[in-house]
Amino acid sequence: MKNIMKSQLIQLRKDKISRFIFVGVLAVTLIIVLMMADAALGDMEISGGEQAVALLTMTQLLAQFFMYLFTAQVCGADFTDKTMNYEIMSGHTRREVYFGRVIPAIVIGTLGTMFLIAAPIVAEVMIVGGWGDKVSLADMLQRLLLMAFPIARTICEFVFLTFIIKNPYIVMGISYLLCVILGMNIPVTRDHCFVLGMSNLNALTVIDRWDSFRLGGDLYYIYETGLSADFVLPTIIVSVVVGAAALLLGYTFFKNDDMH
Amino acid sequence: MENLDLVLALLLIVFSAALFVISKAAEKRVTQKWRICYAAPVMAGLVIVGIAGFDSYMLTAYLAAIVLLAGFFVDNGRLRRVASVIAAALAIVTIPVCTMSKGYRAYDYVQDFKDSIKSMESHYVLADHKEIDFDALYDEFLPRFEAVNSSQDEQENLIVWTELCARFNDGHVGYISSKDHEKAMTDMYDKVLGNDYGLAPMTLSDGRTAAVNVEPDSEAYKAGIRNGTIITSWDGVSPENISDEAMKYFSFADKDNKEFFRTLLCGGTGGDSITIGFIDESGKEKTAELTKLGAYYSGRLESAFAKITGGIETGHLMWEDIDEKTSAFRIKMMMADSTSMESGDYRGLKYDITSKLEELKSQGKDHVILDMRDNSGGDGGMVKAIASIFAPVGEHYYCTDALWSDAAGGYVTDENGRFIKDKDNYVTGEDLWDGKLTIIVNHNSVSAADHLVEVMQGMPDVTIIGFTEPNGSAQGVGGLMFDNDYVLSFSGSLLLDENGDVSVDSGSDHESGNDIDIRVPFDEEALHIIFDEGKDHLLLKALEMYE
Repeated sequence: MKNIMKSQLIQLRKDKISRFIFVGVLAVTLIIVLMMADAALGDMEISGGEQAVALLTMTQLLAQFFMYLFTAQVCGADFTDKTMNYEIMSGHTRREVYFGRVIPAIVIGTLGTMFLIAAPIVAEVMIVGGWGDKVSLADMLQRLLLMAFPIARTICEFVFLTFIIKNPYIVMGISYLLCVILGMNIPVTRDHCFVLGMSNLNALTVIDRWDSFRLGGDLYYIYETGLSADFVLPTIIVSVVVGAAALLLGYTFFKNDDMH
Repeated sequence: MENLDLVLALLLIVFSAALFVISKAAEKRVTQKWRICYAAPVMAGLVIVGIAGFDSYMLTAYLAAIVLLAGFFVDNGRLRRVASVIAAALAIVTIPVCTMSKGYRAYDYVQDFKDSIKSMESHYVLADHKEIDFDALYDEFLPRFEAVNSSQDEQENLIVWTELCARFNDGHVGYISSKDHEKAMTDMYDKVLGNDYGLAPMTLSDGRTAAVNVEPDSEAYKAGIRNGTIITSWDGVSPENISDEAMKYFSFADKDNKEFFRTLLCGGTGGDSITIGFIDESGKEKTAELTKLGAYYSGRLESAFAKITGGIETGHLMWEDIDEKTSAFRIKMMMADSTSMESGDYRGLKYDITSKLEELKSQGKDHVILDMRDNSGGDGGMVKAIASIFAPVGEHYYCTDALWSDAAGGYVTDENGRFIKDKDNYVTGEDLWDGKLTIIVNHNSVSAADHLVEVMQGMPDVTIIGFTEPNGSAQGVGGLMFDNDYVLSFSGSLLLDENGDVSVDSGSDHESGNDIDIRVPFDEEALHIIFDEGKDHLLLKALEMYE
């Protein structure tokens, strides 16, 4: 399995499509960030922390494009040229072939997605000139780290989908549709639903705000960034359980399926 | 049953039938793609749960989808058929379970309560000032909200919330429906305030209790009880000892106001019939057995309230000529129009008022009444605009914003736990009215109306009168919105006075800082003028005072 994983990593380094997806998503988010920074600098009251709160939902949504497309590419591309058939014929077990792709997809996909969520925010904070006092940096980092679980879970769900469909381009098309749906204000994207990975990811990026005001009309904000144990534990547990179930389903299908 | 849940249940039945039928065919096919059919119910279930939300009463349906998934793992026709039959049975069972269960798609009232306590612990600015013990409130009210969750009784939810809010003695703490609030509140008070016996008791300023709002032709009336008849006993106890059970549903920021209305609010106390002691016209003490009428006491109370506390019957920001010397300006809230509210620029309103004042002067009038009874508050900018018209030339202290710290995530206190003053606010007086000004208030003159009273107090030629003090709740309001269209409002922005103490709002002593110049006694004269003659006693007093 090590060899398959190594070959995947080498392939990834040379894979123009994956690179294009990563750079493309990063470029789009950075352009949007620059536009927002321009607007923010017009009003010096907006701190980097507040910008981060405002940006998080959007960078998360855009990063999901990478997450879906990358998973489809890593796990699905080898179906198109029958590489997996050859690996099995050359003595690798189906488990090695399956997990040799799935593990790099989960690890690199998760790290890459988290980078794409965080990098534009870091750029924005640098442009605006500092984090400020209004938003807890520790809480935001905690949220970012916690995102790793629903991101990994969603990748697992897409692994399952990719191994069933066996065509990376169809999976990419489904991903696009999913991103459009996630942009809509419906319960699946709005509520803290633990069943579906992406909706829970969305819940992590939506930060409530409490307003107080001065008599002169100025507003004060408290960003309620803290996460309760009631939220953190189910997020981790359900992500692990559902992610594992999706991988198991994918593997069961792959194990019994004909390679043609 | 909710549409999407019904769709899922029906879909699972169809899936089960279809998968039963294809189970044989799937066995014979070489391709594994048939397996996907057995994963389809779970996929459909996930999508529907994502949209409609999870509900534990739908567990049998979710289980049906999982049972069908067995066919995905095990390539055995017999097992797949058995799974299909079990799944169909589970899906069929789901429909009556959901239809007949009270808890199905139940609203989570407990979660709203928990969210509220958590939010108020963080943001209710008067928690220390009023010595609110949130842990005790949580422990006391949690079982009651759990009971509401079990019964799913929306009215009971409103009752519990009303009781909880009343504990704060803060006019800004309220649980309000954003839809049909008035009807919901009326229905609730119908339920909790007791029976109507054809009269309401009201404590007079000398401590005696008199009957008011007596229903003509009722048993009380036939027994000789009229408006003003002195009540000596109510259901076996003296009027001052009437059970104050009903008081738990009413919030008064100031205990004097609470005491003023106490007997009136408790007038529904009693069973199917009560015995009332009273002094008849000849001065003799008598008793009468009164049977409850068909209606609820809340209706009688509401109309008594309206008569005692109601303002001049005209529109918001409308002028009313009272006599040749006096005009009244009705201000029902401290809001003029959305533009001035958003911008804080009240020059238009100020221009309208000063133009009217010029007109009044030209008519020889020299007395203006600001009728602020039942003024529900609003914008401090409007307070400044109105006060600046009548205040003497110069700067007049209004209130002080408390110091806020982003780093601390709220208002900061010094080492003694006292809030720290930030910016003082002033009203710039222009003295555009050289006549007399009378401000009439009642216990419902709240928030920004409290502010105006606070600012104008003590100014020359200004008199503030009422039966009671204004509400005594003057902080800025914030709130939480719930999924059932109710809103919990509470004091969320802090204003201090010149000494750095909380402005106006009462603390644990239940005494608000707002006072009035003349507390008009609610005596027998007032009672007869209001309930027999149907006149506005406070307005008459304002005119009498001017003369």
